[in-house]
Amino acid sequence: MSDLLEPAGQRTDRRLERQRSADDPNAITVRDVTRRFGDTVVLDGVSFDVAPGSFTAVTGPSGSGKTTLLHLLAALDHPDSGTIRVNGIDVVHLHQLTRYRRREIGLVFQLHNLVPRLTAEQNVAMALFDTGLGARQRKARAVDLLEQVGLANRVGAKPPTMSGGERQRVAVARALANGPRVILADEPTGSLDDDSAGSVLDLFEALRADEGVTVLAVSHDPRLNARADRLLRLADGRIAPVGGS
Amino acid sequence: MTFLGLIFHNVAARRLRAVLTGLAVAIGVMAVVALGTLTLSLKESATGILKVGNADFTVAQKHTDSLLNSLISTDDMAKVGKVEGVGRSIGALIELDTYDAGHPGVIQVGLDPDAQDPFGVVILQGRSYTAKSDDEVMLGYVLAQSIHKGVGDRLTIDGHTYRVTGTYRTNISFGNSTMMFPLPVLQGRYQAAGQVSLGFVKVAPGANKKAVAKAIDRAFPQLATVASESDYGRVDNTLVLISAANTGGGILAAVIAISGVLNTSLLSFFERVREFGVLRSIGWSRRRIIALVLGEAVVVSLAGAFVGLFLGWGAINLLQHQAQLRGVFHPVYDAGIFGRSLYFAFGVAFVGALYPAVRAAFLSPLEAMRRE
Repeated sequence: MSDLLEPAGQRTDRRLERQRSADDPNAITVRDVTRRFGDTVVLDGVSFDVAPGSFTAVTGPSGSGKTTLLHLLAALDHPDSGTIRVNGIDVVHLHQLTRYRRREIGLVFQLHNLVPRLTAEQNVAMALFDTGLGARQRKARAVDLLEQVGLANRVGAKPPTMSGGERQRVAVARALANGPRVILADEPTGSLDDDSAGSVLDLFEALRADEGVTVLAVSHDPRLNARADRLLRLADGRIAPVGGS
Repeated sequence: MTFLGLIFHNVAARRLRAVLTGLAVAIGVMAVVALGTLTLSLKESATGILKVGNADFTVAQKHTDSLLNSLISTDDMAKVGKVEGVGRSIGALIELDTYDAGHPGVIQVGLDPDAQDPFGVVILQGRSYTAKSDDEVMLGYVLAQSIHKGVGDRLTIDGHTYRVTGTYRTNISFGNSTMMFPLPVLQGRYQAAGQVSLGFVKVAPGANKKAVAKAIDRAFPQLATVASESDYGRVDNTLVLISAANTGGGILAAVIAISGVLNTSLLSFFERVREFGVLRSIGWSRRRIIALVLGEAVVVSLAGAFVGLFLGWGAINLLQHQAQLRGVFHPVYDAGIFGRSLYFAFGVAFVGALYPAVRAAFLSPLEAMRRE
């Protein structure tokens, strides 16, 4: 898994660096986060920390607020109150949301969300625009990432011709394209068979172990929960540790 | 893949739609090219008369709707010839009539034989008509070829039969599609005794052209001197109307093309809402999404413009062979028209795709990804 976090030639984002606090040792810090949709309180004063280099699974019944929490961490949504820090960056008050999504986190969706008309390599390279890399560098980086996730022979394949596991691994490669320190995954193995789910989880494990990447996945999937080194359970909008450190 | 490559890739992925949109732009560009060339060419034909016989300026009746309706008395023309600084003045009667179904608008010029040389007429075959003959005519060589008449042949126009005494060319292209009669003959046929349509003035050596023209304007308030295309509106509103028609046609073409681009871009936007949401969530800036949507529209529009240029050229060729335009429409291809076509394509792409592009850029990534 070498060089996964070192996209050569990528520029440092000074605006984002100015927002980073060196005082927060956690990869993710969530404090008293509340999110309401109308009269429904989906998250009710949720607080937790995620240590760097850990693999955390957030579980809970449908409608418990797992995906809402992930969206808040990814700055795709805003909490009504509370604070969220990812890599020391205050996500709630951040103005450079696009830069944050591009540089700090990698998002993996349940339905992979690949562009069907583009090849695997092109899908991964799509995440590398606006990074200062040239077309050749983007391609080389995308091919390298696909090799790292075990898809060296599927670089030119388009999503409709790939299996569910292959597509999800392409999505993981895309999430890794900008060398994020945090991967946020929404049911990444939910629609995969055992072999495919196993390969994606192996990948997360390798990222955590070899690169120190923090992985936070929300999931119903017991296969994923069993591989995580920490499990958080959401119920009634509140979070309670159910195991692990 | 470069960003430009991605744009081309996206366009190619929806070929049929791109072709149909390109066609809408092509039709718009065709209209711009054809109308623009037609307008320019008709202007050239109309203002070409100013260059007859290398005249310094033309004299016509002020404020007529068409130069052909101008009437000046031969007495006034004689007085114009005596204005200080005028070296030579020639009066000519110009009338339009139908020769046959294929030549519904033939320009007839009434001119004294001794004025032919200063008028720029060069006899190619045969001889000139005589001043007092009432059954002789000369033909511009283009018209002679078109109606298949030569020296010695007879032709009938407006119920009168004439014998062709010669063929000629002039220094202006549409003059070669005219027929020429002795001045009194044409004046008699059109009940215009003692009148001409236009006067052509050459100033005396050393005289100031503008000063002489001003002197004529002052001395003859019913007349106007025309030295350039910009003066043309003083005596003929036709060019103003032609230009207005061109502008109107261009606007209509732009509306059609913009509608095509807008329709396609909106359809594409609705189909790709989820994709735009994903792109925003993986760090694409709003600016880049706008550039992507606009870029796709520009590529399609430019391809359409290229096709439209060829269609425009074909349309001009078709117009050229229309009987109603024969003799007065000689295509003048101007680089400016082609430049305007490119501006048109860019403008259509920008205006047509801006709204979908902005909508795509300002989508909430979360809402977009929830769309099926």
